[in-house]
Amino acid sequence: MIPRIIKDLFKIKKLDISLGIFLGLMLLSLLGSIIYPVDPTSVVGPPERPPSSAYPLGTDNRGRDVLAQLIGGIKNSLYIGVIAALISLGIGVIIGAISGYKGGLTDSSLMLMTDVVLVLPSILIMMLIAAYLKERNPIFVSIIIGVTSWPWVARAVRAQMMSLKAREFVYMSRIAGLRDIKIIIEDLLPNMASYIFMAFVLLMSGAMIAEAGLSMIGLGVTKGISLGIILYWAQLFESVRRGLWWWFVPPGACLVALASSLLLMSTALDEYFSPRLKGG
Amino acid sequence: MLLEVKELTKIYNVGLLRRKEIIAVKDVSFDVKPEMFLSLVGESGSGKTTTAKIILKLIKPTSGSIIFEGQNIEGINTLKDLRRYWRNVHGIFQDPYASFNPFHKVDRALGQAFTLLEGSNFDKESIINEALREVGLRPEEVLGKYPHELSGGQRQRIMIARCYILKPKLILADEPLSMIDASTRAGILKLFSKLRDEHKTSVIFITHDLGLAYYVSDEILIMYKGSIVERGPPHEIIEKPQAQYTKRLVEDVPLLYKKWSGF
Repeated sequence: MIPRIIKDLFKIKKLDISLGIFLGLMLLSLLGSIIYPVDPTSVVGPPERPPSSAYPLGTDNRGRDVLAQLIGGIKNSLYIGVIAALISLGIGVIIGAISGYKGGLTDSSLMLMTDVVLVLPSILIMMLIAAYLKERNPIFVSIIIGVTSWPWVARAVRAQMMSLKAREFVYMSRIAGLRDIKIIIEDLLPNMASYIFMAFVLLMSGAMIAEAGLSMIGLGVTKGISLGIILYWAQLFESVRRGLWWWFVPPGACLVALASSLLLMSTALDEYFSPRLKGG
Repeated sequence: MLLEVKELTKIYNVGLLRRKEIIAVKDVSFDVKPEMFLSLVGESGSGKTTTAKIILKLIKPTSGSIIFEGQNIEGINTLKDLRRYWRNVHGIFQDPYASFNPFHKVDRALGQAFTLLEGSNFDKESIINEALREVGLRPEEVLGKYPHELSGGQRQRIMIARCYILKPKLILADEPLSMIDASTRAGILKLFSKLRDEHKTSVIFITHDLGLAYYVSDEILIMYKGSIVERGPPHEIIEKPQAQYTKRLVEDVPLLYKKWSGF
């Protein structure tokens, strides 16, 4: 038996569409390398060929297969998105939860730290850290993005925490002598689960765009491929001016589709969980 | 004396640039004797709930002190001491819907009581079942259910069952009946007097309903805008109200068999 909430959720068109796009691209990246086993980094044909039966999405300036690059690129971009989102969600939720629950001096000092990170231009920090590292694998890039994009999560979780901790069931747990950590885990966090999930979705879309941004200025992954890296090479060899559309349109479209499907998903969930937003 | 509240004051500071002080509770003093049923009566915003939360150590007072069995509760800070305090002084809140975490079964609220009891080898199940029967619930009807599957009255009874497990010396009941159907109110009110009669529990009963307070209390304190404006035995308050606010309250108590004459 499927719980009613799942059934209700699937009735939302926006969610179905966005989930469809997202899962479709995810499956393409996961199963793609099995169906289309071409190495994205090796030279397989003549350079800069338009799409043909041999190369469904053409080749780049060095004769590498664009479809194979795309498949590998989506996989790595998703990987970076998930890891970076998990890192910033972890930091944001822990800092926000402690800050909101404890209040007082703990709150002030943690929020001061959050504000400092919030006002620092994160792209600049990312550039500095990324430029310092000689070799950047996807994990490094995820960490760089993760540790710079958590402040708004911390702020939002803190606000939710402050409103939830004045609820009566939290008082009941407090006068039952439960430890703070137990109250946070058992009483407070489950009540913001939907919110945390939405934050994860937004962080993931933000992280994938941030990865593309870093790659476009030449500070992305040094080994392997990602959507940003394909775009970087396409831009470097002036594919737009020279009309090599098959080189930059597919990765651009995939990036937009991934990021916007995640945004749409979070909007749909937001509307479901707070009916006031449905309008009318 | 079980509990002495001395010159309790709570001031909230609001605003960042223009600091504004909101005085929630101002110089409130009263004593609670063992087996006493004391009512705090006042309108919303009069500081009743704030007073209760301070006594329960859920918020800190700005000034003033609370002495429980000769000990200033400000000095109770370790988890062990806090647990002992909450075992003796427990609370029940206004909203039986908000008193339960919607993610957990109602059993949790009862099981939590065992954190406060000293020792570890209890027959939890039979203690819980017995407490539920004491408050007029059938254990098999409520255990294992989620809060939204029960009625407001049933939930508030479960909260009182929690007090039956603990048998505290003092219960702070913050408007425990205001969200309960009129028809079940009397039954729940009786549970408090039963606790007092059987286990010598004192009750601080917080309500906006003077009529209800008159019905059960040994002493009534009338609060208005953070201060106690009048205190005394129920019949004196009803028959000879002194403060202007009390007179208004007494006039507002609806009477049975008397038709409302309009404005």
